[in-house]
Amino acid sequence: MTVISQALSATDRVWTGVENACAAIAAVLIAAAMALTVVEVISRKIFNAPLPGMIDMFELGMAAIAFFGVSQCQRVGGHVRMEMIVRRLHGRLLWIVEAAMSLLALFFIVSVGLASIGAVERAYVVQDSTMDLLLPIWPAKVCVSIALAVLSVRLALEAVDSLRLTVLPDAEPITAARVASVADHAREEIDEAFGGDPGTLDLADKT
Amino acid sequence: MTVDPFLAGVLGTLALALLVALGMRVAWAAGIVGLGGLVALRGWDPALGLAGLLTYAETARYSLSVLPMFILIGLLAFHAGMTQRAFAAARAWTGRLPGGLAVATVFATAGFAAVSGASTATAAVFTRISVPEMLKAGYDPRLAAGVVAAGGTLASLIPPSAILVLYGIIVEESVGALLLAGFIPGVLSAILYAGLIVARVSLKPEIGPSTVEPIAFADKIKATGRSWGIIAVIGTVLVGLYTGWMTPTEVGGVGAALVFAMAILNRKTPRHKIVEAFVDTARLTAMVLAIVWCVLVFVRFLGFTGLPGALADWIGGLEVPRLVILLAILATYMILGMFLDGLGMLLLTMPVVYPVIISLGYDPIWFGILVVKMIEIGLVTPPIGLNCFIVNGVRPDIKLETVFRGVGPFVIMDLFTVGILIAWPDIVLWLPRTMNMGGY
Repeated sequence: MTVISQALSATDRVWTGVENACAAIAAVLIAAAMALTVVEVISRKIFNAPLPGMIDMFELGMAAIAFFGVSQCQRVGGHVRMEMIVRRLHGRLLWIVEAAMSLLALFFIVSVGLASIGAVERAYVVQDSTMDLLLPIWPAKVCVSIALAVLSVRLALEAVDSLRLTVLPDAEPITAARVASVADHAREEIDEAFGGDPGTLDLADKT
Repeated sequence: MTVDPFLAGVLGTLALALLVALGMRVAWAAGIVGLGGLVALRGWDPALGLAGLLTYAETARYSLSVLPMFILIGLLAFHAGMTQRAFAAARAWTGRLPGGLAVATVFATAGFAAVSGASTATAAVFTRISVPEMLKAGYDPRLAAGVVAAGGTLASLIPPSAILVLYGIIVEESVGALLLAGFIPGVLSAILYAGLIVARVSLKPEIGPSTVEPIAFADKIKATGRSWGIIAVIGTVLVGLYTGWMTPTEVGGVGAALVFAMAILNRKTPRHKIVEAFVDTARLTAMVLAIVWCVLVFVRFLGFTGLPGALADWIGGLEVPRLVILLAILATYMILGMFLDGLGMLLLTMPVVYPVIISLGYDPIWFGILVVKMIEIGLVTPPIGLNCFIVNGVRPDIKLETVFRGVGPFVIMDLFTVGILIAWPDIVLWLPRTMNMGGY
């Protein structure tokens, strides 16, 4: 089992880097989008010269913006879920449920990811392009496939760790999803709001 | 094997409810059930083809680019030095009223929550800014804690509001019209909160003693001027949309650039926090849009089953006044809002509820405002009531029970506000109807 946990930790470290790099690309695109809208508004309103192809560029960029943060979000537990019931589960039962949920999610993302590769092929073969600037669409679709591939590995890490914990319910979770109480969740939100200032944060678990 | 589509729809909906209850991420739960349903009804290849197509087709849209912009405004707002100034400005005007500090808290939280779009984070920040001042002045802790927890909920109606954008996208209504429609109800909510405080403190002066010295008019103007950031962002969104000068994405981009500039100029803000805001925006955008495209896979499946139409017909044929049905739907949202994140809940249920609302002849823009208001109420009601946990988390000396009890009167006021909006829909619809923008 220690081999498995070591492998999990090592893969987790590498994959965290990959996810952060993907999220950074999306962040740069978001900054570019912000700057572009300002330039467009000034150019159109003051100089009466709208930038050509704004909608084209935004459409292509949105694919990357929408998907490149998806795996990092899964890692930090950012995707919305209802924790009312899992919060009450403990030990083996909890990890069986978590493993089943991760495996189902993995199956879905792998299926859609494979389908998205088909969509890239078609877009490339027919030379699909945007309306205005005639930019090729396939690179934007590749971004979707890449992001789903990165997410698949993250979901696999979650599933494997949950399965490991069904065997060893007392072991420390490594990459499995974590369940937070409402008070924990509140504490995270507070940390977020204050940028992790530890001064007055002393939350007792109220649930 | 042939599957009865209607039965598949019912089973799929139950499976989705089960997976969500068992803690599966809402996005993936909607996606797997939608995909499974499409496979059952249409076969493996067409189902996968459709699901693969939706990932790109439903995200690579100009209309969606408003979302990262609004999220960015919210995340940068925390570093722009707006909160203290908003409270100082509000206090300058309302400090002398009965319960003046609490009234100031209402308007400062409303303004900041609107810009940040984050109910919970607003509650956290103002627990630190205005609660100490209220307690020092001798306010009842219930009032002090309640007003901060409730004030955060004003985030979703006053523009910019990401949740209204999502509602608009999922039901395919004008995002601009929705954003404008939220403004007056949001301000009305704040005014009614303030009225409630003034009335309660007038009856029982000891719960909110007045300690604020008179402030000269010129100083009031000066304090207001210092909180120009909030006014500029909300103003950009309102004016940009109302005049039709800018698209929702553009008001978002210009608003974000304004807050970005403020954060850069704010010397107290560490530079890495600004960079983090962009990365966090990427993550939150991916989270929200994952729900959008996954729910749309589920919606395609539901479309083949005919379930939403059948439900709308059935409810439309009931021998009950439509107002009763509307109230039942709103009550359901309030109850669901107590257990499930508002955003996930809205996106999951709207594909089924929207056709019902349309068949009843209600205005979809107006309904969107009501639903968002109901969801916000869930943020302060037990058992989860995250905002109350936040207040208690920042100030452990104020018991959780005290916060929940303090919020009670504001919840009643919110229900009263919803009643007003139902009785006079024009309060919601007047602004979008008069705007200079085609389409609505």
